[in-house]
Amino acid sequence: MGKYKINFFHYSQSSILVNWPQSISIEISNDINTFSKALCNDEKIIELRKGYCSLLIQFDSENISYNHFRVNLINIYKNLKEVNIVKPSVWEVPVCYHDSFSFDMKEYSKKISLTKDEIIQLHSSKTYYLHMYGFLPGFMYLGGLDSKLHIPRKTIPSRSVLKGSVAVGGSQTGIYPSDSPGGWYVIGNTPIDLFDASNLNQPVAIPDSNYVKFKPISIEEYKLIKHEVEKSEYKFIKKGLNG
Amino acid sequence: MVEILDSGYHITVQDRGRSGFSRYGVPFSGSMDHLSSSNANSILGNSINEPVFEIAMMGGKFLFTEEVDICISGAVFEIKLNNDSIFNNTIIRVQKGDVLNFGKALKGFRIYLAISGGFKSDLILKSRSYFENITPNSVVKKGDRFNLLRNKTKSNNFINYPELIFENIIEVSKGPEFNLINENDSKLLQEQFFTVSSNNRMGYFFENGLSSNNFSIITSPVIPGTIQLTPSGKMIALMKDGQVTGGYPRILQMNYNSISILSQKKQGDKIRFKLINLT
Repeated sequence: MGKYKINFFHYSQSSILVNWPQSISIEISNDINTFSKALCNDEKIIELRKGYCSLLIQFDSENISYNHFRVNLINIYKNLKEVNIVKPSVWEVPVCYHDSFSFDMKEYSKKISLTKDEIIQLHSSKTYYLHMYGFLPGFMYLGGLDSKLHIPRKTIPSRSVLKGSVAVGGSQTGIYPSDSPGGWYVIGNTPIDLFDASNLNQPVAIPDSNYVKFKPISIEEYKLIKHEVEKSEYKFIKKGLNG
Repeated sequence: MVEILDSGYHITVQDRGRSGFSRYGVPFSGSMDHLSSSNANSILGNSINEPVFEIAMMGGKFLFTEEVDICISGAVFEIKLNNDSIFNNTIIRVQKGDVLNFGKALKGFRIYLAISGGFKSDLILKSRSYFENITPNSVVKKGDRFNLLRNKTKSNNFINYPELIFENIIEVSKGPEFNLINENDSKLLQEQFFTVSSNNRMGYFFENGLSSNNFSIITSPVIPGTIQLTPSGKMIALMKDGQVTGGYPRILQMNYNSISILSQKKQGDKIRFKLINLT
């Protein structure tokens, strides 16, 4: 039995939007994942796109009508069983907050009235939940940023944010997996690769519904890890959720 | 083989797109105007998923080093095969050493070049469509060479509505946040012409819009054809390379054919929305 009151919206000729109560929470994310898993063997489904509290389902409209498909979905959600979702891990992401990477740290520090050390401490002590990917290939939507670190996005986005940049914007923090324009404040950089298009089964380094924790590293450690990454020798450090 | 002598304004390789990877943040991509790319392929008897060259706005020079049939479809360009004019939606036999030279788009914005039996390009995440940081190249460059594949072709060639893409009515259904906009704006949407200010493969932008607002939604999925309303009141129509999630209200959704129609519009072109019900 699905836990929430969900509703359906006919989004396009071949897609349906399922909305959960509109708030950001790990419980809702987990419920969407459980529902997605129950759908993954349905051959009428072409693709699923996940939001924080919604799911957009592309279906094979040539072989099933919207109304039929919708009724199927309602039944699947009604009969949803708690499945044994693989226990999430905490993935450690090394971040160098050194001045040579933290391009926006000064401005950010001034705007939120915290010192650089306080920012690093707050940013790297929390455990973030990986709700979903979006925006760019391999861009993680992470939940759980300390409210002291919240800041409105830049009014004028930067034209080019470096690959690996760790940034904050609004109530979110994230990592730019490739060079891209962006409106968040860059406070560090990670030497690890988060996306590999040649890996067909799992192009992202960290599977969604896991947790991410940032580990401050020195510029020397940064260079060392970068070298390991280039030689494909880097091994992620993963821990259980409770230590 | 076909060799690129001049890479024009913006040329990419596109097939029907990349599906199944949006959960990793990867957009669909694929031909902006799928009606025309399908026509170019099917006139030759190719599979409609065979990759084609998408040529936007102006330029592009292709050298053929062997005899092969080709077809062009979509926008009407100034175009010469050596010194001769050639036309859209017909089979054209090119000879060894022939040069196909694209000038300016005269009508429409994107033209598709299909080659009988297809040509070789990298298959990455189940698609050959170019996309930055997914495929090795994000645009076709001068000096690039593509080997011909000579895949078997069928003989039941067909063509669908080659003139439809030059219409200016964009059919849309209501998006999930349509009801946020007020009555006056809703009327404007359906009665006013909107002028294209700029475009790329990610989206179309318009000069005029609706009243400014302070709506925001929790980041939610979007797909090609989704029309978002920004706080300034301007609209963004997301196209094939558009990102997979967005935080602006989704006020309208274009249907498949309308995505093709809009793909043929350029700066200064005017379009009108026609609200339809999904059935």
